[in-house]
Amino acid sequence: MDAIGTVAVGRGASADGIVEALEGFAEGGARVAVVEWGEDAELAGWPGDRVRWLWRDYPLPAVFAFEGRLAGAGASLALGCDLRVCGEGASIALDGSSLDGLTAARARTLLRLGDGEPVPASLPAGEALEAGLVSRVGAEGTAGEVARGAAEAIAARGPIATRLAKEAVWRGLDLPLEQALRLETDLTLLLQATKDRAEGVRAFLEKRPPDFSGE
Amino acid sequence: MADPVLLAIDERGVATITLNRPERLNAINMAMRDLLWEYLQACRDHPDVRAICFRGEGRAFSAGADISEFGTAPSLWESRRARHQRDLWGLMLSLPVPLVARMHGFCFGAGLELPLCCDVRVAAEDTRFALPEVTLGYIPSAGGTQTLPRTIPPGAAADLILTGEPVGAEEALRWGLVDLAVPAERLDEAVEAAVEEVLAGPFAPGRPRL
Repeated sequence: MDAIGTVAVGRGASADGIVEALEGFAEGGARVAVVEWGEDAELAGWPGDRVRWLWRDYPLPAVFAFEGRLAGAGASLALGCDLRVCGEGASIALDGSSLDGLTAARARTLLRLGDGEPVPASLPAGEALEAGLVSRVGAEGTAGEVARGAAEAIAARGPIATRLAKEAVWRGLDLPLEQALRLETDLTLLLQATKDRAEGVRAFLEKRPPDFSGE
Repeated sequence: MADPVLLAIDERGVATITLNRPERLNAINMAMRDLLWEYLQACRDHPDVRAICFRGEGRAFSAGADISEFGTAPSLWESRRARHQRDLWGLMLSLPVPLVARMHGFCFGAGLELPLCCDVRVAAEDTRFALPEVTLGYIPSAGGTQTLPRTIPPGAAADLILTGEPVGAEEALRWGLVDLAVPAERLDEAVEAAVEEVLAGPFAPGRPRL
């Protein structure tokens, strides 16, 4: 199994098929998942419980790449992922009125919308970057490449650390700050007991790249 | 040898806390955490202190925690107990006066997490910002996994925390990681203006407090 598991979403894709592929990456030892949304992608639906599953329960960091206009189930799938990247000609349509509760809640979290503030209907790449809904924008046609760059960085890090970092960020965000800080402390203490953390520190002090085993 | 953290309080009630270990890019070690703890408690209890400004001596604000001290705690339990008993970052987040960070050079790891506990962050334009802990098989442990997603858009925070890659002032400004970025030669002037501004107004925390 490669460290980076990539699922290309194309014509006739199914939500079950995408979930199966993503679960396969996690079970097979991949360190990060990339979801590449193709220009011909078709997806009938990506319901809110699967949006939540992706950010809350799926163990691997997931990077979503898209070009063109992303809407509907594709946009919902993107919201569930940890990172979103796109080409500069892309846009993301989030029709607030048609989003189910869990999907709308995720959109509101990512866009930091207050109570009563509407979810914007459509964001071109530049505005999505300003809003932090996407974190990287490449030249048109390079979204896949940009996603692989981010995924390669994540895959080179300690795999337990990136899983726990994902948990800390998204689980912590729902907690009062004091409890969130205790969550972080407890996750860091778990990591202090790992071989990966010892290897990371050793490698740094010996000025060589770390060789993380995931233990 | 000079102390690795310095405290000075001026006639306006502005406490300046200087990270003063420039030969190690102000890598924050236990001695520095002890001094920060002591000085911040003193600032909290000093009736004349109206604002605190953090700065770093030398080429960088701070390159992060001193990694050579990692793994030296006697046990995980001792580590956890010490952390909860002497919660430096929690203390910062509970201080009743505005905190201003003067950022330059490198703000990596704890060198970014400390400013993330501040209300106003002013940076030189050539500053690099990162939470690179995952490169060590670790995660930010000075509050960064919680303060960063509450300061910048959480998807952008996830990118920084999961990849460990640095960003520059353009991204930092775009997402609100810093409030202001200025040419390095104007940094002191901009920080001074920010300090004057917080002194002039009623205290409005720039970030969630404990």
